[in-house]
Amino acid sequence: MQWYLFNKERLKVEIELMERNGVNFQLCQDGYGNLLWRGQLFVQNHLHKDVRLVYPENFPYTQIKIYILDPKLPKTSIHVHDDGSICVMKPEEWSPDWTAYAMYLKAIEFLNAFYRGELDSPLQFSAYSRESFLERLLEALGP
Amino acid sequence: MSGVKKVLMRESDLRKIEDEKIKWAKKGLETGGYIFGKLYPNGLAHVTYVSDGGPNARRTSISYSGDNVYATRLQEELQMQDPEIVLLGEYHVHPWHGQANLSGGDIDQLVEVKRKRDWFFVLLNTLDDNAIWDVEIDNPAGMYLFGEWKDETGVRRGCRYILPRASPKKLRCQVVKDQISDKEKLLDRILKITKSEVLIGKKVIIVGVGSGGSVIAKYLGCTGIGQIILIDPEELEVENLIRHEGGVGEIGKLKVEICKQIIESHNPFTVVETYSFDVTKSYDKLCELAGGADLIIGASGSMRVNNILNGLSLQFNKPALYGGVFEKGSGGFVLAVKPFEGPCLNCLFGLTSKSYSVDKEAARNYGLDEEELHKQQGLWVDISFPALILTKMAIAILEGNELDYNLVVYRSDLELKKLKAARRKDCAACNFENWAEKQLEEKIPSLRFLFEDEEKVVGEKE
Repeated sequence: MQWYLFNKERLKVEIELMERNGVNFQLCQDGYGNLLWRGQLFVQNHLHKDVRLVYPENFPYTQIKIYILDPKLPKTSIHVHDDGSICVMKPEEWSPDWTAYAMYLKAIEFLNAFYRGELDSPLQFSAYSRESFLERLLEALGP
Repeated sequence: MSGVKKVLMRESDLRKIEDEKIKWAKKGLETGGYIFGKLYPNGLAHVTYVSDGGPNARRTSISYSGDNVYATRLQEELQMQDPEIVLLGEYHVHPWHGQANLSGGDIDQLVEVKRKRDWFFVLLNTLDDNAIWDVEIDNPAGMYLFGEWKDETGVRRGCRYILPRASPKKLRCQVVKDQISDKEKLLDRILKITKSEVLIGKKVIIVGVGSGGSVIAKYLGCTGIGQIILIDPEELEVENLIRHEGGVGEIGKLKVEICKQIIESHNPFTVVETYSFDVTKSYDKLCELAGGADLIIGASGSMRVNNILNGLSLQFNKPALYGGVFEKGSGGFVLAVKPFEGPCLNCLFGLTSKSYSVDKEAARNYGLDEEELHKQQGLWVDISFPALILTKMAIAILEGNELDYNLVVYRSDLELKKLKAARRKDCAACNFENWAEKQLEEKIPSLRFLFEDEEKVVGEKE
């Protein structure tokens, strides 16, 4: 069952954030019933006329996919896939706190890095890091 | 309780049926008898007594009809010894070669019985095969269609067309040595230290049965949990051998099947269901399984999978447990989630997530690239440690015991911390309203243009 059918409050927030921040994307549905934001991005003098932020069926527990289309990015990086989708974070980094608006910003950040030739090369990595978890967690939890 | 999921039989009872089969098959006659036993809340039918068809059973070359008066008397006698013993089903021998499939008449009879009780099965034998069958009645309301026709003399006759209405299904049967089928004896060493009567009615779902999940599955099975659902799409490979319950002989087999075999070899009274699908791709199936569970266990070590499980835990209000190991076995954690009462997975891991946060430092320290670092996560003992802690916490949750902590963090130098973490006030998963307010910095306005016409393109304003 699609998330927006029973999680309408979250959808309201998603829309509100995009609108308040003046993002000129439109919310649509694809043939599978997935919601997506669609619009244009102009970054580093490059125009992509079809940029999509596609919500998965079980959003917000699975990552929003970003597609850079029309034109697709050249496949010069492991972060650009054949279908036009791009990898802006490892699946392990996703958290329900991420919104479509945040992913919109990530798309801009990604394109900026891509056209400046500054893309990093993070690989899939699912071992939890004690440094990045334990210390920060204990710090956050307090004494 | 609906339906039998697994039948547990003693070798001696199966031999008894075989002897009866041979005796009558030599004469070319069908035969059969009655199967008595206990039915457990987890769907296990435990056969404790097998009888013949009784003195007035009728046997021909194409039919068999048992002596029901004899069966009723026998049941009364058995219930004098143990009131929980009931008639579970019957066995039935077709005295010919081939597969043990139900005939149309067998299905009809089983359907008739299943209208009155949802747990009756038939053990069917031929000279070559035996199989236990049950039927699921698809549409009890529309099973028969009545009509009429005229015979050659023009006389109107009524007739009954039987529509397809029941789906026969094979039941799994585990045959064990006689002494193992004594449940009291099997659980003798733990009966007084566990709430076995509570645990037998519980259903646990374990997602991921690799290094940690296989340990959790085995030890949970050994505590007498009623049902365990195992989900993992992978097969056992050579490099898994030193970190898995499966051994050399099981290479190439599905990990879920290996774990099922291990659980049942220790405790045949646990019903194990296996599914080999990728939970990131079959969300509906996962929802269906998680919705019926008493506890969700995330043992895949994947944050992506755990996030999905967290969503289901909150959606269905089911407790969940997640475990993980830090790089190179330098420690690990177990998190227990009681939805909306304590922190959810996102309350804690939302703190740590940031974009491109690859642990490059750890990779540098060990001189490994990140992918290699993941593969060399730790020894099996390093992974088993949080797995065993998780299992202990699972038993406590299932038995209804209150834990005064919800997070266990340990280091490989055996320093162990039990913590009581609190919910994150702005967690997008379990504290949505606060999160939304923080996002928008004011109350969420109502967006009345939404969902007034769901057929429209969503988001199109009036």
